[in-house]
Amino acid sequence: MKFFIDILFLLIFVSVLGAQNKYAISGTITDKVNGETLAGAAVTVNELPGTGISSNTYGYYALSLPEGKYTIRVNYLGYETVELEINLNQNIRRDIRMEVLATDLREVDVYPFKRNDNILLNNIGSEKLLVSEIKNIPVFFGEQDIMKTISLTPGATSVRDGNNGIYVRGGGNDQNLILLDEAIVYHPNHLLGFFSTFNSDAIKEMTLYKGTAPASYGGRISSVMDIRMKDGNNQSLEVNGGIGLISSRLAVEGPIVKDRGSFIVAGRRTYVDMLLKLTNDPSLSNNTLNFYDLNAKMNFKINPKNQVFISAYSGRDAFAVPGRFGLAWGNRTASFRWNHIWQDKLFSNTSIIYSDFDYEVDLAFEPSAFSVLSGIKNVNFRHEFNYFISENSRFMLGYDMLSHNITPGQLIADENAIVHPMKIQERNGREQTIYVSNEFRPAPNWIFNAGIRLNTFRLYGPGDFYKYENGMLSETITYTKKEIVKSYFSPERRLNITHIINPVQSVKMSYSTHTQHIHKITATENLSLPVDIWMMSGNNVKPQTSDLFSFGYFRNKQNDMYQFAAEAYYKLMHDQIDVKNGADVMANQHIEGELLFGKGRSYGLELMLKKKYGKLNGWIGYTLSRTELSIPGINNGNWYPARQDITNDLSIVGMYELSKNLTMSATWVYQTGNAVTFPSGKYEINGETKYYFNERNGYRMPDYHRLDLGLTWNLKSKGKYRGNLNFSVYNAYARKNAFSIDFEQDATNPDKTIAVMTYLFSAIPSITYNFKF
Amino acid sequence: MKTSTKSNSVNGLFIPFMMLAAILTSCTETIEFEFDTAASQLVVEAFVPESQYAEVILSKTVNINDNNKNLVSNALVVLQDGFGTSETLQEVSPGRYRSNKIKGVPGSSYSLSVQTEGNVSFVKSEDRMPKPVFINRLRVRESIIPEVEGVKMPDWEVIVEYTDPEDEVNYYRFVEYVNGKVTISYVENDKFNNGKDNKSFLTCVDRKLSKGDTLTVEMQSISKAVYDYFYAFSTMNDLVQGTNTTNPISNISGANLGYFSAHTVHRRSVVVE
Repeated sequence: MKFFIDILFLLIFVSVLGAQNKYAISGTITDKVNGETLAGAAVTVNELPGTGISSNTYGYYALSLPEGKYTIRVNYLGYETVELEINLNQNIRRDIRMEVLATDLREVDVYPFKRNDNILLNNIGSEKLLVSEIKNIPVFFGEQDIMKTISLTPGATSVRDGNNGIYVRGGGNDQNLILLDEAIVYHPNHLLGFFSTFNSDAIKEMTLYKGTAPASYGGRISSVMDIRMKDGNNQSLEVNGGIGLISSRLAVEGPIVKDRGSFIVAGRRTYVDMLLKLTNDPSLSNNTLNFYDLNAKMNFKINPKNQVFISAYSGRDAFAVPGRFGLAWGNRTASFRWNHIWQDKLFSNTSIIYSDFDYEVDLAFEPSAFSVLSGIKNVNFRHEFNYFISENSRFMLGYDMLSHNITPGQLIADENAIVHPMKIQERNGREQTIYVSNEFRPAPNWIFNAGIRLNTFRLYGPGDFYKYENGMLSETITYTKKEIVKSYFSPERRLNITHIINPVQSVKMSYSTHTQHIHKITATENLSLPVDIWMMSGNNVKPQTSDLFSFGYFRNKQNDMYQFAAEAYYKLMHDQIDVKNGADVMANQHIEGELLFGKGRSYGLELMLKKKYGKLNGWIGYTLSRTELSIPGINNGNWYPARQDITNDLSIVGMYELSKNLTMSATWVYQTGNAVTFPSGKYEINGETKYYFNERNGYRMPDYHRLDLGLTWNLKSKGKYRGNLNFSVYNAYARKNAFSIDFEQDATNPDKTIAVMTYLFSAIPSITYNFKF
Repeated sequence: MKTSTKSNSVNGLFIPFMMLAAILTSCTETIEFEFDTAASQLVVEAFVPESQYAEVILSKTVNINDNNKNLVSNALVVLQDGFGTSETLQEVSPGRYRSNKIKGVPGSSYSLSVQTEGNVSFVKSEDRMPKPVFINRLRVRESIIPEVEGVKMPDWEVIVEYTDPEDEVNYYRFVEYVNGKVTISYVENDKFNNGKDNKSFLTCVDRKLSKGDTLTVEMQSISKAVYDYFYAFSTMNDLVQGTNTTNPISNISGANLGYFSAHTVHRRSVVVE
């Protein structure tokens, strides 16, 4: 199978060489009002049906055509379609500015163009969300959250409350590549998972690839969440902000030089601790409990051929009780990117990226006075060419070098402390990848995108490296700096095929393989705490890999007003990692000896019905799936349901425009309870009752369901100043969704066991005032 | 009385997390729950304490809402020490088998075999008693950990001071008694404090103490296998540590549940003031 696919890839790349065209039209596609670039806009030629390309991540497009007169059409979701008449007798540079679709044009009957991107784009298994289109969805404590919203689409799910980890098509929540302006974000949430790290004021859009991501992405085996920050308004100064019950936001953006460069600075801070001050409990009121996010970005067009982008993010959570202990963790990212247009058809981007994550626990009370530190960081260099070969083909070639450094754990203590200072050895590794892909149309109604990533991973010294056999240490080898401890070569294949049956119907399919070298051992499954342990592939831990097949059918009805999608997938996961029963994972130099390895499989059907336009819009998403693991040493090696195995998952999202100034919204989610392990018997040890566990994940949590309501009221605008009030109720009918279930002996009858459920929320109303000028 | 087995290699590290979790998660409710049933399993509890006669308790698991006294009588229990003494233990009360000859000696190894009636189960085990380590000082004080509404935090702190021997890897188990009744047991190793004058924190949220109560702590030096067995209990079904609910790995081959421990014994008592 894989062999034939490789042959197919070879043919595809050879076909590139034969392409030949005379002139090119090229340029950047942007929003007319604020200058934001539009990625993924469809550029087609009316005279040549069945041709077209889409703009790249920087909004750049180029079409190569024989000399002649053409009508170029540009389509982008939610924007007015643009048509350009051109006489192509030389290379033409044409930047395109698009206008947001006026409200009256959203009514279908009067709109002259098709809005069937979902049918035409070669994008099976992907979901794109613009922050601007989710702003009316009701949210937890008034904070718009792109991660929470994406989990309302089929195939992506969060498990219960208070766990912002997203599970995509049965993959673990460490198997998602989460990128913010290309930089890896390791811990994408705040405050134990109740908020994501992405401040919606600073974010433009998010694309989730549940399946076959383009060849430029790699490093995790389940999904890619590509989050892009706003570039900043390059037309005029703009201030956005919001004041909420537990957090406030402020963002300033504007031109550096009009049309050529802009900046954005956005900040957000919660003040849960200020609420604590209002409580009667004196011991609580002095505590610190907060988080902040700071996003900053600037871009500048040096000349029409060169543009640079600099973006940075820093976010941190803190929890402290003065004089007793402190707990802090956070992500930081920085990226520098340079777009260069070599000639009209050849675009390149060079990126230098840094990101890190660390956490620190300080204990100051006797007898435990010491600190624990841990962190992970990477430096990334990427260089990518986009070659727009013809009117319907785009070729991509890139090099990616990613250096990893992990500080697994450090114990900092002074002389008098009861513990010794301790440092688990740092680990260093490097991935180098060359990738190529080509999107082309072998026939007018067929779109192919084939890609290969050739990935090498090397684990380097210095340090002592161990080998284990059956969990027992068998060999220790000491390596010096830069010495190679272990290397892996992993070719990855990506193939997407779309067949357009007619303008309202298409079928799409994909096959891909993925590799992952950074693995996360979760010490706390239930709550999203930052104390996870990161490790790299090495002597004992093999790279995790996956194979994914998917097939989809797409259908539009009533002038593209109703968009239906059905996708089925089958995913195999290899070299999956779990921890032995009762293993000691904290600050353990020999943690690799405490691991078990096995395999996983997931399959499912995802249905989505969207209504994108009109007074009432939203979607219904449904997923039927099964995810199982088989790990020797657990459940006698038999297949058992994974924790994230959720059989039925239904989300309904609706927004209704009551009047020009009043929008109502509601979401309802229903999920089968996830798989958990609970006892099936009991016994006594030292006179204490202990529970006997018979089967891994043999029970189910109670089903989860929740209704959220929202109301946005646009206040009268004064000049440029606009304000709105957002009311929301999270968990409107106060469903007591189980967070955990614990078992206790009944106080009156010790033979009986009672089940005690902990739940996090009843109905939570909130109000936020948002402004813009 | 409800007792708990807690352990923490680094004392108190999880307290901030517990508090943070508790601040956000304080609503609980008793629910109806339907339990599965499972075939009954043999449970072996066997110990050879220093200078005391060895004892073995045999029982079987029961369904969740049944009476938890399913003791196993008429088994053949044979204990052997490192000096070549072999003894068949006598059943002194149902399910309880006691030695008349073999008392625990530090540094000595012991082996055990159990054959249940009709040869349904046949299990074996071995354990070696480590060198003794002594409690230097035992202290009880009112807790200095701040209270949080709705969060169970210990009212009292019990601190055991001892000197860890530097030349070996040590594993300890502490059993705390208040007025003669077991309140908590706790295991610890010297991963972070080898060779140090150590202060161990016995954390128990359910412990009720009043002035005049006698609090006793028994310190045991145990083997790694026994440490691992008790440590596993502490990683189970805990709000903070999640839902890795599994049976601890037993050092008894042939049985899934239980342990065999040859351990030292050193006790100290203090009267609460």
